[in-house]
Amino acid sequence: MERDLADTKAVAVTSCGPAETLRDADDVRVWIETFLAGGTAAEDAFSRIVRTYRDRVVSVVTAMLGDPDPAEDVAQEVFLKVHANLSQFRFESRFDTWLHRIATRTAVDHTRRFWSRRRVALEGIPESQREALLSGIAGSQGRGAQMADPERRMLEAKRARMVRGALREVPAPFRAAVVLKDLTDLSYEEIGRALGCPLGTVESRIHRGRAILRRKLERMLRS
Amino acid sequence: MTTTACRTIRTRLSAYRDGALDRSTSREVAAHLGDCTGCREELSGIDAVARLVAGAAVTVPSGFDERLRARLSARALAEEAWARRGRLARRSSLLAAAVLVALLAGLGPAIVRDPRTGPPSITDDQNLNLVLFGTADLEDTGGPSPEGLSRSEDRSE
Repeated sequence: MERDLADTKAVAVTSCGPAETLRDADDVRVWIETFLAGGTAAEDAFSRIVRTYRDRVVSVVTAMLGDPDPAEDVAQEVFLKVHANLSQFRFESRFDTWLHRIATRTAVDHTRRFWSRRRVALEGIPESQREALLSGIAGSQGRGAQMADPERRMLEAKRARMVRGALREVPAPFRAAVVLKDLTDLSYEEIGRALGCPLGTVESRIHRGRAILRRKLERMLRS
Repeated sequence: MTTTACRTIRTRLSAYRDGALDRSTSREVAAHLGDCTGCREELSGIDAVARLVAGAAVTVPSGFDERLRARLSARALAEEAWARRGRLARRSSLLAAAVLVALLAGLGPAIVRDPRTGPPSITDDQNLNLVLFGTADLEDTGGPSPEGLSRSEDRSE
């Protein structure tokens, strides 16, 4: 019950302050150079970087951990690492590729340290809602599309919780590839650079990761 | 029915769905999907899973930026304290080294010049030479050679 409320809260809270919109790929280069130059504008430039990428980093970390509770702490750890190591970024790859590499590694390290095998099942969810929860897997819209807004939001929160629970049971290399593809929409080449593996490996990890995830979700639906 | 072609095609379905295949492979997959219901269903399942993951995105908790700023400030303070401690430690080490050098500079000559406190090996050799040959100034510091010893015995005769 507590987890339900926490998840609903995580989805429902409004973002803290306006997110920065990336007008141009060069914006981030300017912010990084301003930050590295130091002085009074440096911290403001770093804040702009944080505001631009925090949504994606929090989502990636949450999906990697399968739990929103420690995700904020880990996401902040990611930005602390970026702050400390930004001088080592050489503009040889896209900044977000470098950032997601840090995010996935930090999340994997955290998972190793605090791995818990708490299974998220569909306990406490009425039979009538189960079909709607996983309607996507069967390729149909199910009942979710016809629901009233509060009910739909609650269902989406539960669905997100279940997907995160299932993701947690997918081995980390496959999970990282799937999360980076489906939550950040990086290209396969960028995912390869972020995870340090060749293109063929990225393709097979995404494919196998989704297949494993599908089996886990279907098992949850049946249990 | 799943054929060998189906098994091959299915390994490429995620990449096909994500638009990551080259044009000719993509056309090959599309042609197979046109004829194969099983692979179309497989693709539909993959697409559904991808959409479910995309739907698991979360919004940033309220106060995220403020808490991050507080952690950055705390870390900067800790680093400054650590750097201060390092500077203090370096200064203390330099001071200790300076004192040691000063002590050695002051006592060193006395140690070297005073035969009573000189290095034991030199004093022992000098004493041995004095006893055997009546002089401490032999060129071989390792002691008398057998020839020297025999000459000394000859002299005594």
